[in-house]
Amino acid sequence: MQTDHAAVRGPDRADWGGRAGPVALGVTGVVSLLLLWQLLGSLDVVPRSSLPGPWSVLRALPTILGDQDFLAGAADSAAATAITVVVGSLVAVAVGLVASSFAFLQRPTMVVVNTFRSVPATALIPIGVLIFGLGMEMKVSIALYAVVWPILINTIYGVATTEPMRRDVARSLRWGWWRQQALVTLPSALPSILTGVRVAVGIALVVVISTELLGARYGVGTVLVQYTQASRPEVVYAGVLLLGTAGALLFSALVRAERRLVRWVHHD
Amino acid sequence: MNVVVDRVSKSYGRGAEAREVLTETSLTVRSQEFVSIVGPSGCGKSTLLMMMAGLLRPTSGEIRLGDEPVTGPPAGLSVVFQDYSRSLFPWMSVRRNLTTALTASRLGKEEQRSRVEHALESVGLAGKGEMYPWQMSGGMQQRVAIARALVTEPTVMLMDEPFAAVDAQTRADLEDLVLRVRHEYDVTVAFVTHDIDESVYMADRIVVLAANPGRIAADLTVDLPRPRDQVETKLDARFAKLRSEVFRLVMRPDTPATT
Repeated sequence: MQTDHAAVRGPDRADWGGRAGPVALGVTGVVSLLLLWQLLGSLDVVPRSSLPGPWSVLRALPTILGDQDFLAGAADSAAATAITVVVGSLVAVAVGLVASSFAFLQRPTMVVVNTFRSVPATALIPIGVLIFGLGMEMKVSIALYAVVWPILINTIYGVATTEPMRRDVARSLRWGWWRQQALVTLPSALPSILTGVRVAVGIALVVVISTELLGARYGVGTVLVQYTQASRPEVVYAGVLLLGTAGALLFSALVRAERRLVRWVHHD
Repeated sequence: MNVVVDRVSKSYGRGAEAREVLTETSLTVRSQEFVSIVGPSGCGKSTLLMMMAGLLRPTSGEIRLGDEPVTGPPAGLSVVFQDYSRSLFPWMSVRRNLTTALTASRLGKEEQRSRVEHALESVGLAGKGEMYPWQMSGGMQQRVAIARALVTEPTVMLMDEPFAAVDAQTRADLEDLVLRVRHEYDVTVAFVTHDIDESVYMADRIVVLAANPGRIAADLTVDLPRPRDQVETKLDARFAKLRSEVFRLVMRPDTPATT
C-alpha cells in the first residue's frame, strides 16, 4: 500500500519539484499576466492612456534605456539607496549592540523605537525638503530615518537570542567586552540583522523613489514624473518594469548573500 | 593546584522567595586528582561547578584556586560545557574555535599554532581544523570542546556532564579519551555527571551530593587500578561494590548502608 502510493506520487512530484518545475510555473505565470494585460486594453476595460498594451511598453524599453537622464537618475537613486543602507546598518547595529549590552538602556531604547517608528517616513518629506532642499541629503536623511528602526529592532532581537551558554564560554575564556561583542554577540545576532537589512533595502528603495516623485531634483522617480507629464505612459510603464526587475534581482541576490554569510544557521 | 570549596552556599531569589540549592558545602579537589561529582537532579552539582569556574558567585563562603580566591573566571582553569552544540562557535572553524580560546593567554603566533595542532592531535582530530562544528558528528564536536579546554594548558579542567548528549559507544570512547589526555596535560579534573557507572569508572574520588538543599552526602575513594579499562575495570568486584554504594546514596538516600 505504502509503496503503491509512493509509486503513484513519484513522477508527479518529480514534474513539479524538479528543475523544470519552477521555470515552467514562472513562464506560465508571466504569460498569463501578459495575456490579461493585453485583454484589459483590447476590451477597453482600462483606457489606453492609463494602461498601454504590453507591446507598446516593451517597444518603449529602448527609449527609456537610451535616455541619459533616466540612467543618471537610476545611478543617483541607487547611490542614495546604497548610502542609506550602509550608513543606516552601521548606526543601527552599533546602537543595537550598545543598547542590548546595558540593562538600564533596554527599556528606554524600546520606548524610543516604538514611538518613532510609527511616524511614517514619507510624511517627513516636506520637513526634509525644508531642511535639506531637493538634493541627495534630503533623500538619504528621509530614507535613513525609515531604515534605522527595522535594523535596530532586528539587532536587539538578534542579540537577545544569543545562546547564554556561549556567553558563559566567552566569559570563561576571559574575553573583554569588545571581543565578546565581535566574536559572540554580533555573529549570534547576524542572521536577524541580515533579515533587517534585507527589509531595509526594500524600504530604502520605496522611500528614495517617493522623495523623487514628490519633488527631489534627480532620480528615476523624477524622470518618471517628467514622462507622465509629457503624456508618454508607455515609457513610464517601461521604467516601472525596469525598476521592478532590478528590485527582484537585488532581492534574490541579497537572499543568496545572506545564506552564504550565515551558513551555520541551517545546520544548527 | 588545589581547588578549595570553603563552606559555600548558593541561593536563588531573595527573602521569602529564596531557594537554597547548595548549603554549607566544603570540598577540596587536590592537585592532579580526578574527582567525580555525582548526585540526583536538583542537588546543585552543576551550580557547584559553575561557581568553581568563577561564572557564578556563591551566596556565602569562598572558592579558592591555590591560595587565590575565585572572583571571576580565573586563568589556568578551563570548562567543558554540557552541550557542545550550544558551547562551540558555529561561525568559526574548529581551528579558530581553538585559537580564539588562546587570546587571553597572549602567546606568539607560532606557539598558538603548535598548541592548537597538539590539542587537535590529542583528541584525535588532527587535520580536521578547517572543518566547521556543524559539519561534525556530536562525538567529534565534544572532542573539539575538550581540545578547546586543553589548548590553554590549564591546571584545572571542569567538566559539566560532558557526555550527556552522545550515544553509549561514543561516550565510552570519550571517557577513555579524557582519562588519557588528563595525564598528557597533567590536569586536575572535577567531573560532574549523573551517570553512576561513569562517576566510578573515571575518578580517583567520588563526591556524592544529596538534594534539597544540595549538600555532600559522601566522599568515597576509588581504589581501582589504572589504567582503567571499559571491560576489565567494570568486571572488578570493587567496581561493583562502589557502584552499588553510589547508587544507594543517589537513589535511596534514606536507607542505611548494607555493608
